[in-house]
Amino acid sequence: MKNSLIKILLIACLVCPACNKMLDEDIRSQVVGDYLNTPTGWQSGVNGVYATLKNVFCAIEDNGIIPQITVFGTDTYTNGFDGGFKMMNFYNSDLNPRTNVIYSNWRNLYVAINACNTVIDKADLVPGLSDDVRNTRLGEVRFIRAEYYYLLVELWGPVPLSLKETTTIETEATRAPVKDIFAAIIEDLNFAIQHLPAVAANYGRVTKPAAEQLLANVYLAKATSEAKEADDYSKAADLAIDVINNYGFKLLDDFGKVFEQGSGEKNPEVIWAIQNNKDIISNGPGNTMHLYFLMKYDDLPGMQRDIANGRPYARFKPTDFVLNDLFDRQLDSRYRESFKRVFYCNKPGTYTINGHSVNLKAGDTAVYLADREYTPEELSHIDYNVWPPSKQNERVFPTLTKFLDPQRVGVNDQPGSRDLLFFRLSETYLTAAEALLMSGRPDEAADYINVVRRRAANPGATPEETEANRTAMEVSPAQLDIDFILDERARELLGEGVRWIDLVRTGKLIERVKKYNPVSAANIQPFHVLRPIPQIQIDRTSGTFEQNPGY
Amino acid sequence: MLSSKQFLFLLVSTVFWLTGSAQNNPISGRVTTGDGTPVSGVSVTVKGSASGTVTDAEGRFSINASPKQTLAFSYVGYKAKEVLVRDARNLEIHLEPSDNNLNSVVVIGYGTQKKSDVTGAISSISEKSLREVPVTDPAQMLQGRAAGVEVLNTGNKPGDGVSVRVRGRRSFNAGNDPLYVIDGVPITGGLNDINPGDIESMEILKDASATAIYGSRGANGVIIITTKRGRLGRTNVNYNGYYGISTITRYADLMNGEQFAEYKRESRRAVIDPVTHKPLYDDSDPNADSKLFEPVELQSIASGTYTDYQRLMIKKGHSQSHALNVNGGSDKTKFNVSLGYFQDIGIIPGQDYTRYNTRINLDQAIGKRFKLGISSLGTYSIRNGMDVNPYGQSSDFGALTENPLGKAYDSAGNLIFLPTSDGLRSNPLAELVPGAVINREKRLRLLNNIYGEVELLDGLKFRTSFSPDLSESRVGNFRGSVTNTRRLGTPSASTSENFVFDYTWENLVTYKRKLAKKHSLDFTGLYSVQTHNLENSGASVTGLPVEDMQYYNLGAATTIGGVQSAFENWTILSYMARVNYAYDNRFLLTLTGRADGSSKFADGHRWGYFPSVAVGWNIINENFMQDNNFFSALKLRGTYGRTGNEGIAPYQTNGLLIRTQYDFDGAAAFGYRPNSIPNTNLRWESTASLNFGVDFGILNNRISGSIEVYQSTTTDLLLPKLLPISGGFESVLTNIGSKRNTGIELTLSTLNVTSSKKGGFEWSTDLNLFTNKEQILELSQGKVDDIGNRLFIGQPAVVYYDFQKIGIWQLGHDDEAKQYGSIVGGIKVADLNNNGVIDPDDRKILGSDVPKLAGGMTNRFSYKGLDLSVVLFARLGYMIQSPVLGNFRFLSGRVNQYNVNYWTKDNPTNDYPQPNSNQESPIYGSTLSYVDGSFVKIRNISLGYNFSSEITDRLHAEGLRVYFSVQDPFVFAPYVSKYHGIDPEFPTNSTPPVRRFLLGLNIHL
Repeated sequence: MKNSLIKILLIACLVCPACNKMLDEDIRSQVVGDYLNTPTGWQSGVNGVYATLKNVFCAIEDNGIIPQITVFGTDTYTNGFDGGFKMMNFYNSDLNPRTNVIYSNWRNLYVAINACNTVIDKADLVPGLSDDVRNTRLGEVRFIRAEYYYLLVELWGPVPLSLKETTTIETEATRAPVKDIFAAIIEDLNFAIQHLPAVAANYGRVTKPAAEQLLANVYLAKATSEAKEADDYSKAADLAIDVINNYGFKLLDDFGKVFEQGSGEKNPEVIWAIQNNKDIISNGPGNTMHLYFLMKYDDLPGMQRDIANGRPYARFKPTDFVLNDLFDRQLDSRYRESFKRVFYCNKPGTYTINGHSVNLKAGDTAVYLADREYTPEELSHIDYNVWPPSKQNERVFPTLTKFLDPQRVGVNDQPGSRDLLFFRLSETYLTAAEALLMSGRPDEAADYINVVRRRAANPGATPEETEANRTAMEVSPAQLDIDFILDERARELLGEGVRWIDLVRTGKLIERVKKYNPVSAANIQPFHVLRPIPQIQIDRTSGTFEQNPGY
Repeated sequence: MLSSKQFLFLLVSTVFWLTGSAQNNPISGRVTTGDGTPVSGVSVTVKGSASGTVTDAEGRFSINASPKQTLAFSYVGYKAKEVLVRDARNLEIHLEPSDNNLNSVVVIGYGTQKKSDVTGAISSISEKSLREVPVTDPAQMLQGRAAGVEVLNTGNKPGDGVSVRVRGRRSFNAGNDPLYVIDGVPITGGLNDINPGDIESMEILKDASATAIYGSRGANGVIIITTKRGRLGRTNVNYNGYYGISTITRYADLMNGEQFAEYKRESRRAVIDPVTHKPLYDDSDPNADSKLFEPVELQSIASGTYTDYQRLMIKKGHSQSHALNVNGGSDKTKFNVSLGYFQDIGIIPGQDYTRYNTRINLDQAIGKRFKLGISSLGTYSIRNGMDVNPYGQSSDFGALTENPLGKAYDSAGNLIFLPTSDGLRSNPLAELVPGAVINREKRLRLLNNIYGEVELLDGLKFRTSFSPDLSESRVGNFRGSVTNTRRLGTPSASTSENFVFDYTWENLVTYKRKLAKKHSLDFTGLYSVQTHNLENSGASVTGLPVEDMQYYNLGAATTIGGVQSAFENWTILSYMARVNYAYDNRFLLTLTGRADGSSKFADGHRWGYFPSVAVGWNIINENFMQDNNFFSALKLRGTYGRTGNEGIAPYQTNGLLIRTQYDFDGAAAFGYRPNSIPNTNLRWESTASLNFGVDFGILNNRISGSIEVYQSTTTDLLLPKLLPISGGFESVLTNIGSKRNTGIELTLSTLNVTSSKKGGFEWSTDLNLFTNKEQILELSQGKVDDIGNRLFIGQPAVVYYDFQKIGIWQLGHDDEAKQYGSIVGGIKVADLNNNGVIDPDDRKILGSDVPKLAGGMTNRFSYKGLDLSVVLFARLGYMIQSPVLGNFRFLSGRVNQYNVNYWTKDNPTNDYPQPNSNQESPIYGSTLSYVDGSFVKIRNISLGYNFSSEITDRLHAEGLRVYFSVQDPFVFAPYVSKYHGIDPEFPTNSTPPVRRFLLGLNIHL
C-alpha cells in the first residue's frame, strides 16, 4: 500500500510541471497583433487599411458614407419609395443622436483610423524594410487617414483626434478644435505628397496626385471653416493645377465612357479609385452603389427583377431641379448620359398598356421615362408604358447610370465589382475653378471650368457642329459665381457622394435645399450643417462629450 | 457456493414442495439496497398474519410463509415493498429509497452522501419526477421542479434546447450555464445528446460548498446526472415508449386581408405629399385604391378572398420515443445496456429532429480490492430546419408578415413564387417544397468514461478515470433556385464541420474512517486535467449546375463564396481536497479547497483558489428531540465559499487581428487590421456565497421540505466593457465591477391524503417557490451607472432602459407633438425632466427580465392502479421585449403584423400609433415592445394506469403501465391575452409553440 501511495505522489510530481505548460495558449487559426511587426505582416496591415475604404464609402446598409449620408437631403437628390434612411432626407426628428446610420459611419471611420494609426506607429519597429517602401506605404496610409479626418470634420465638426494606436483601454475622449484637425490632415498629406510616387507600382494604390487632389479639397474646406487662413484658396488652386498639368491625366472625349464597367474603369481621367473586383473572396463587401439609385422597375408590366437590370432599392430619386432645370438638354450630353430611362421587356406576355392590349416580347421596350408630357392620342399608338414627368414618383424616376452593375452573379447580390472612381480629373478642374474664383481670379476659373463644360457638350453631326456646341457650352468669367460652380459640380459629379459636403463647405446647404428639395425643405434647420454626435459615443465616454447644437 | 446448511435447507424445502404441501414454509432471504449494500433492521411481515421478523446485520432474514402469502418489507427511508411468496425459498429483496426523505442517498461532487449528512444546498430530482414529463432534452425535466432552478425553452423547433439558470445570473459575459456532470465527468455543452430515459437521478448543487468541489466551473451551479447502472439481482428488461401528436398552441393574431388593406391605406393617409399637399392615399379620389394596390391585391379585395399563410403552413406534428433498457448483475459484474430512439417532427414541414442513443454501463470487480468499469454513451442525431424560418418574424420574409392580399396558389393549384411585387418577399410556402431548402445537422457523439479503482486499505481508495468526449457535427445547407434566398438565381450550398475532442483525466483519493464510534471522517483528494480541442472547417458556394446535388458536390459550383477553418483549445488543471467530518450524526463539517489553472487568462492570473466551509447540525438526533412526535427530521445548515467562472472564449488576453479583403487591379490583397485590444490583466471571475438552510420533516414526514436563504457576491466580473468607438474598438473584455444575488427558496413536499390500504386514494404535492434579486454593486467607474452599457447600480444585469410611452398624440396637438419629436398619431413619450423636449435624460428603467417570483408545483393523485400528475410552473412580475411590436417595418404599411389597435383620425386610441408608410418603424417605436412577461403554464398533465399483478403475471411481466399525457395545454399570460403574442416563455419564437398529446407504454419484464 505504501508503494502505491508513493507511486501516486510520484506521478503527481512528474505530471505537474508538464501540465503547467498545458496552460499556455495555443493560437493557430487566429493572428495576434505582433504579426504587424514583421515586414509581411506590416504590409498586410497596409492592405487592411485599404480594406477599410470599402466599409467607409461603398459597403452595404449600415456601412457606407455615400449610400446613406452624402447623397440625399441635398438639392440634387431626394428620397425614393424604399423606407431606408429617409430621415437623412427629411431632416425630421428621426435624424437624431440615436440614428443608427450616423453611428455606424462614425464607428467605421474611427475603426479605420485606428487601423491607420497602428500601421503608422509600427512602421519604425519593422525590421528589413527599405526606407523607400516604408515611406511609400506610410504615405498611402497617411493619405487615407487624412481623408477620414476630412470626412469627420466636414460631417461632425470638432471630433476626437487620435493619431496614435490605441493599446490600452481608453474611456476618455474629447473633441479637438477644428483647427487641430485640419493641421493634422495637412501634415499627413504633406508627408504623402513628399513620399508618394506619381504612378503607383500597383494600380489602386494611392499616388502623389491623389494626395494633392485631396489636399486641394481640404484647403477648400478649410477656407470656409473656423480655421481658415488667407492663402487657403491659393494653395488649393496651386495643388489642383499641379495635378492637371503634371501627371498626364486627360479627360475622355465622351462623358458617357467615363463610367464604362470593366476595363473602362481604368481610364486616363481616373486619378485614384477604390478597388473592387469579381472575385467574391477578395471583393468582400464590394461596391453596393448599384442598389440605391435604381428605380423600382421590377413590378412594371413586362418587367421582372433580373441581374442585367439590377436590384432596385429606389432609395435616391433625383430632385425636379436636377431633372428639369440643371441641364441644358440641347447642349449638355450629361443629361442624356447620366440617366437610364428605358427598360426592355424581360417578362414577355400580354399586358394592357395605354388602354390597349399589347403582346410584349423579350427585348421590346417595356418602360420609357419620358422627359415631356404625352397626349392620349399619342399614347394610343405606343406599345409600351410611358411615364411622363407628371406621372413620375418615388418609385419611378430616371436612374443614375454611373454605378449600375449588370455583371453581378446573383440577382439579389449586394456586393458589386465596380471600382469606385474616387478622384476624377474633371473634379480637379472644378476644384481649381472654385479655388480660383474664390481667390478673386474669375478669368482663370472660367478657363478651368470650361474644359469640363466643353467635354460635356453633345457631339454634333459634323466636327463643326460639335465645336459649335462646345463653344456654346463655355461660360464667361462674369457668369461665374459659387452657385454656378455648385451647379456645374452637380452636373458633373451627380450622385458621386460629395454633394452634401460641397453644400456645407460653400455654406449653401440650407439655402439650396430649401430652394430645390421640397421634402427636405419642410424641416431643415441651420443646425443641420453638422450631423449629430452619436448618443452611443456620448454615453460611453467618461466625463462630458458635447453634442452638436440643435440635436 | 451454497453452504452445506443452505444446501440441506434447499433440499428439504424442495422435498416439501414436491409433496404439494400448502403448509407454511421457512422462507429466507436478504435485503439490500440497489447497489448491493445489505440493510439491517428491515421489518419483514407476512401480510394478514401476526408473524414478523427483522433483518440481521447482513440483511438476512428467515420467516415462515405459505406460497400464496405476501411478504411485506418496510424500512425508514425506503419504499415499502411487497412480494408474493409463490415458490420462492430464497429471496433477494432490493429496497429503493423513498422520495422526500432525508435518509436517502444523494449524489454530490465526487461521491455520494446520505441526505442527512449533506451540508450544502442540493436539490435532488427523483426518478419518478424525471419520468413524469416526456422531454427531448434532459434539462427540460427540471422545469418547475427545483427551487432556484429556472429552465426556459430557447426555441420551439424540434431539437431546440433550454437555458438553465441556477439562482439567477451572476455573470455578464462568462456564461451563466451550470456545469453538467454526467456520471462524474464534467462535460462541455448541454445535455441534448443524452437520452432522458437513461437518467436515474439529477442533483442540482446550488451553494458554494456543494459546488466548490467543481471550483473553476461551479459558479453557476452544477447539475449532476447519474445514469442507470446494473444492480445485483435478476436481469430487468424495461421498455418505455410513447407516440404523440403535436398541434400549434395558438395562431398569432394577425390582420386578415380586409384589415390589412385598410391598414395599408391608413399608412398612406398619414403621409402628405410635400408637393401636392394631399395625402398619398386620398379618400376623395375614386381611383385611390387602384393607385395604391397592385392588381392581385385589388382582386383579393374585390372578391373578399384572402390568404392565411399561417394556416397554410402549419401542419400537425408527431413525436415518438422508444427506449429499451436491460440491466442486471452478479456479485462481480453489473451491467446496464440501453437503446433509445427519439423523433420529433415539427408543425412546420421540414423541421424535425431524430436521435439514436446507445448506453453501456459496466462495472467489474476483480478480486476484493480492484474494480474497473466503463460508461459509454453513443449518440447520433439528425436535425432539419434548425436555422430556417419560413414562419418567421423577420419583416423581410415569412408567413407572419406575408401580405394576405397576395395569392399563394394559382387556379391550377400551383405555388406562386412571387405573390406580390414586393422585391424582398416571396411565397413562404415555397421554402417548404421538398428539396428547395435543406438545412441539416448530423451529429455524432461518443462520451466514454473508463475508470479503475483500488481499495488500498480499508476505507482508502484510489480511483483514476479517463473520459474522452468526441463529437462531430456536420451541417449541410442548400437553397434551391425557387427560394427567398436565391430568388430564381442559381442554387447555393454550404457545408461546415465541427470536430471536438475534449478529455478529462481525474485522479481521486478517498478515505473513509469511523473513529471511536462517534467520529466519522471522509476525505477526498483530486488532481485533474481537462482540455478542449475544436477544429472546424467549412465552405460555401453558389452556382450549382443541378438542384439534385444539394450540398454533396460543392466543387461543381461556379463560384466559391468562402472557405474557412478554425482551431480552438483550452485547458484547466485542478487540485482539490475535501474533508467531511461528522460527530455523532449531529454535527457536520465540510471543508473544501480547490485550485484551478485556466489557459484562458493572462499569464500570472491563471490560477484561482476556491475554498469553502460548511457546517450542519442535525437537531433531530439530539437527545432532547427523541421524545418529540412533531418533527421527524430537522437540520440546520450554513455554508460559505468561493467559486470561479472562466466561461469565456479563449485567446481574449491577446490583441487579435481580423482578416480583410481588398485587391489592387484585380490582384487579391488580403490584409489584417486590429480587432481587439489585448488585456493582459484578464483573470478569474469569482463568486463568494453564503447560504443558510433548514431541512425539516413534520408528522412522520407528511410534510417535508427545506428553506434556503442565500447571498452571493460576484467580483471581477468578466464584462465586455463598451468603449467610446473614437478609440477604434467597440468593446474589451475586462474584469470590472461586482454584482449580488440574494434569494430565498422554499421546497415543500406534502402527503395531503394518504391511505393505509394499498390502492387507496392518495394525493401528494411538491411545491417550490423562489425569488432571486439581482443587483449590480459596482461597475468600471465605481458606483456609477454605465448608461452606454445599460448597466445601473442596484439593478439587474438586463433592464429595459428607454423612453416611456404615455399615449398617442391626438388631433389638434400638432405643435406639441412636433416639440416632443413626434407627430399627431405618433407615440407620445413622457418628458420626465419637464424641459419641454425629449432628450436622453427622458429615458428611464422600465423594467427588468428578472421575475419577482418563480416556482413550480406538481400534484400527484393515485387511486388503485390510476395515477394522475399535473405539473405547473410560473414566472411572475417581469418584463420581456417583444420582437414584433414596434420593430423594423412595424406599422409601415408594407408587411403584415399583429392586429393591433392603431390610431386613426376616427379612432383616437392611445394604444398604437398611426401606420405610416414613410417610416421604417414608428418614432419611439421601441417603447411599444416592452410588455409584461408574467405567465403561469400548465406544463404537463399525465394520467397513467398500472395494471394489477394479476394481469402482469399472466403476461409474465413485473409491471405494465399505460399513460396519456398532454404537454403545455394551458398558459395564462398578459402577453397572450393583451398583446397578441404567442408564447411569453420564448417571445422571439421563430416557430410557434406546440401542444402535445402523448400515449405511452412502460413494460417491465
